[in-house]
Amino acid sequence: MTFLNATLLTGTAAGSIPLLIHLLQKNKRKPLQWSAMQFLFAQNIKQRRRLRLEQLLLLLLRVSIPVLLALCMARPLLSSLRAPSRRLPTSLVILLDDSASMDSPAGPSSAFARAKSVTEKLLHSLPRGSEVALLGMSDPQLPWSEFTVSTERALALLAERNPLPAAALVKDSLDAATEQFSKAHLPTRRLVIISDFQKSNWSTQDAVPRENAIERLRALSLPPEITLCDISSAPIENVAVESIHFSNLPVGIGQRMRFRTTLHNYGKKPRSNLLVSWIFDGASETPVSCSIAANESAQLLFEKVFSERGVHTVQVSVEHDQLPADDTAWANLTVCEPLPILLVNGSPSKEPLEGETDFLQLALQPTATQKTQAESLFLTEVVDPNTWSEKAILGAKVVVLANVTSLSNQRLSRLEAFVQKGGGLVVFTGPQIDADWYNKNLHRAGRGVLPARIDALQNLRGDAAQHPPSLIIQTAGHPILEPFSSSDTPFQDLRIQSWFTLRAPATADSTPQPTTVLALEDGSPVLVERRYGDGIVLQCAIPCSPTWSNLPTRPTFVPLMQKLIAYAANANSSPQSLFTGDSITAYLPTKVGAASARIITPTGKSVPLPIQKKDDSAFVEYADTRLPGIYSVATEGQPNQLFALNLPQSESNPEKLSAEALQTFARQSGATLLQTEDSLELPPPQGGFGREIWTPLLWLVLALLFAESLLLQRFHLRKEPTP
Amino acid sequence: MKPLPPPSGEQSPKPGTSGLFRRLSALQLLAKKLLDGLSSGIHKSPRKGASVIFKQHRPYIPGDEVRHLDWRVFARSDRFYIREYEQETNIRVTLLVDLSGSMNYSGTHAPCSKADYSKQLASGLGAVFIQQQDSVGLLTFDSRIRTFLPPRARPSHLQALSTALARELPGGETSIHKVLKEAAPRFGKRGLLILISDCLDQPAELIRALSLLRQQHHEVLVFQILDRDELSFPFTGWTRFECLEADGLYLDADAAALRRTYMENFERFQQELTAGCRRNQIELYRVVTDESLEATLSAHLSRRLKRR
Repeated sequence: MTFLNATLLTGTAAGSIPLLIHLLQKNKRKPLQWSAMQFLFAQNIKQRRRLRLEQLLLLLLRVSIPVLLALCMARPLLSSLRAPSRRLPTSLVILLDDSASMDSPAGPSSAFARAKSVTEKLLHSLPRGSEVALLGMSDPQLPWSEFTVSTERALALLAERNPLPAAALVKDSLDAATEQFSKAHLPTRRLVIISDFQKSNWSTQDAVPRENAIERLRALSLPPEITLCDISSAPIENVAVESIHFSNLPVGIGQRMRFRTTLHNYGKKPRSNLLVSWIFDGASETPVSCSIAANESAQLLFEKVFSERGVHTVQVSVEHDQLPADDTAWANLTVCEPLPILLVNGSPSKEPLEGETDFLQLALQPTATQKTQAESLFLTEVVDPNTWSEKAILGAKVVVLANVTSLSNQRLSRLEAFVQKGGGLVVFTGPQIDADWYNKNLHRAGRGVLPARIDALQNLRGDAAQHPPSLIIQTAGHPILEPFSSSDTPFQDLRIQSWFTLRAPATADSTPQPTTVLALEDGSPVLVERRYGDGIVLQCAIPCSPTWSNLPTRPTFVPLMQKLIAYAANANSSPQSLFTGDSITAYLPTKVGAASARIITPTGKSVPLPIQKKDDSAFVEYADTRLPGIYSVATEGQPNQLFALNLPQSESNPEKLSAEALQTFARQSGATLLQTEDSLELPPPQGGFGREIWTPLLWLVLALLFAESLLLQRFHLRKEPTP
Repeated sequence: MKPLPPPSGEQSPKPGTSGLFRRLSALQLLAKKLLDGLSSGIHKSPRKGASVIFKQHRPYIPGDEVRHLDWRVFARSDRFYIREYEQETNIRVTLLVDLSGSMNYSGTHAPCSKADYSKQLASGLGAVFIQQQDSVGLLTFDSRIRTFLPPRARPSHLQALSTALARELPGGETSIHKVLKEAAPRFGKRGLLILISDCLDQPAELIRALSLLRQQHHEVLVFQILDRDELSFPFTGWTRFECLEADGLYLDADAAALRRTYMENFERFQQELTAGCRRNQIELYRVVTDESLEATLSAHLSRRLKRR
């Protein structure tokens, strides 16, 4: 026997109340010295026994009434009594796949329309007294309908639903069904999963969490019978825009930005002359055509120069096909204000290009000397290491120490605080630096801001000077090296005569590990980076002047320095793109005046969001991101923040789980597999879980109450007239 | 007249103490009050003897005393007749007072215990009989005879009776039939035996003992002293009924549940007792302790007078 409301079994303890009253009354008996004792004892043993039996019977009745009532409320289920027929009231949970792939055609209508039709038939065929809960698999945490006995209401809710451009969350859906069953009221329970069983969602790659979810479902006190309803769909031709990729480094007005999009043809046929549109800020560029072989990917490049500052949206669309949800991808980027860069010149000179930072300044502001439409991304300020004001550092995004011998303690601590809070620091060595001071005050055995310890100075002389070591890329794909990604040997004409040996030992504690970006061919690091607090520190083994190398005179110097400084400036950036279902978190200035912000969804719906504050940061969060597209967070007095959410790639692949794999899954999860071509009626319960017996118990309680009242009257209340 | 208040508590003072004297005075006072209120000469002896009240003539038979011959009748009729007179006094009354433990019960509304009421009744009856020159004796008992005072007609004997009654305190088990059988030889020639008891004994044995006394030509009168609680059993709730006679005997029970059984048993007992007394021509008077003692005595004596 099992109980549907097992917690109410504690109510059986109420059965002890009559017993306790009996015992307490017994203990509270009044003493009475009595004369006619012989009349108290029944005339014979028979009478005494009868008296005792009467009392025992009454006590038994009084104890059994609350116990039976508690049992009744706990809703016992007698497993030995099998369900007599299939027409038992059922707690039914329907998991309906409303993911993007269900929008694909299946016969004359879409797969989702067929799934809705199946669901409607199921609802109509439910036995009287049944309850049903509807859950969409793309967002199972928000059930369409909790358990309801009103089939009409469930049908009305179902009619409102359409497939969402989102992925099916199988494991989350099973867990949500488990939660629903924990609120079920009937002993006969069924779970019907209606899906197209898309391979990407039901593949063996996610088998472990899915099996765990099934186990949790089966571990319920009354596990449901599972039925899988396969909505077969015809093979479709689908080309998906999978991603838009571009550098996440800051970009300025007039700068050429390179975008790369990846398209994938999931169809069985090659696609030729496929039109691809690039849409920037809602304005479409001239479509380009491309061809993609069957089941292959293709990449398209596009270059764009932005003429305005602010947030820009990028959208890539292909011609609509049978699965339109993945035909568009979104991204957004910010064309920022010129970044203030503080160049601390350790070796100033009045002669042109003789100062330590002259070449670097030129590289960062190449347009300052030219009349072009492009605006420099950086706004440099050159200061002397001994005289630069503390105010200068406050407005800077990046501080560059170029061949600086040392800093005062006050400036040093201010610099550390600057990096800790998210500022960028770039350290160039040079002949003037005090290596010991750097090691002692900036490196501090790995605990300071400097990522690497500065060891011995290396000078090439004689024959060695004729064959200087080559500079090689140590971390491929690093954002700094993006301009050189198309070249195998971008630094082949670079000659380095002297350099400081940098030693970047791995730290044992939890501080971030230094990364070597560039190194000499013997492995000696040339450019090392490490995060420090919220900021990034880049340390270079050579100067930014042509003292020890010809780097400043090479063509690679300008893009390298621009990317290097931009990288250092962009330390605290948010991720560029998200997927549907991800939460949006928009950080706001701490001293934001408004109490709430608003988010505008891709459909144009405006939703107010409360501004949350934690520690020193203020932010808003939004979780209902089922639709792909651009979400805009608007706060009074602040520029809008845009977030691009794209469909997960898993939904684009229309390939279904194979029949064998589906049958294996059904077998492993103990489910019945139902093809929609079959009869749409659910198979009868396999033996059921027994029958509820609370109704006869309730009648028994009423009978006992009546009997108790009768017996009480008979035993006690029938008083003889007082003599 | 209201019955006297009960003795002051269970732990009564020993004879000779102030408690005894208080009880004794109360009994004597009660007896005096009863005498003042009741008429005298209520008995007539069934035996005939010398007296001023002529009863009848009867023929002389050899053996009769010659001095009883009525010579005037002989002169008129020439036959010998004997002149007979009614004997008015000298009835031998023995008061049998039950002082067992059960007589110590005092109900919730009763002014005194059954034992106290019995003592007062015995004392009053003794005073009435002695005032009529009847001989009055006393026998107190529980399961055995405690005190026996042979019948005397002297007025001073009333003092002895009162003292004996006041001295005795109720206690012990009841065995009326056993005591009556044991005491029967002491009652001598026929007389009036007045049993004052709650009669809570085995009814068949009690009736048998009383009929034995009747066979010895004693007139037997039974005053059954009961408390109102014993008649109505008004108790409710869980109660420990502790026996007044046998130590350690008790019954824990729901009084309301017991009532039915009690009343059935009591009624059955009363019916047996009444039937047995009627069968043996024994007068049975049921007296409840919350009734007036004077009224009880008056009613009893007036009934006896009417029967004469």
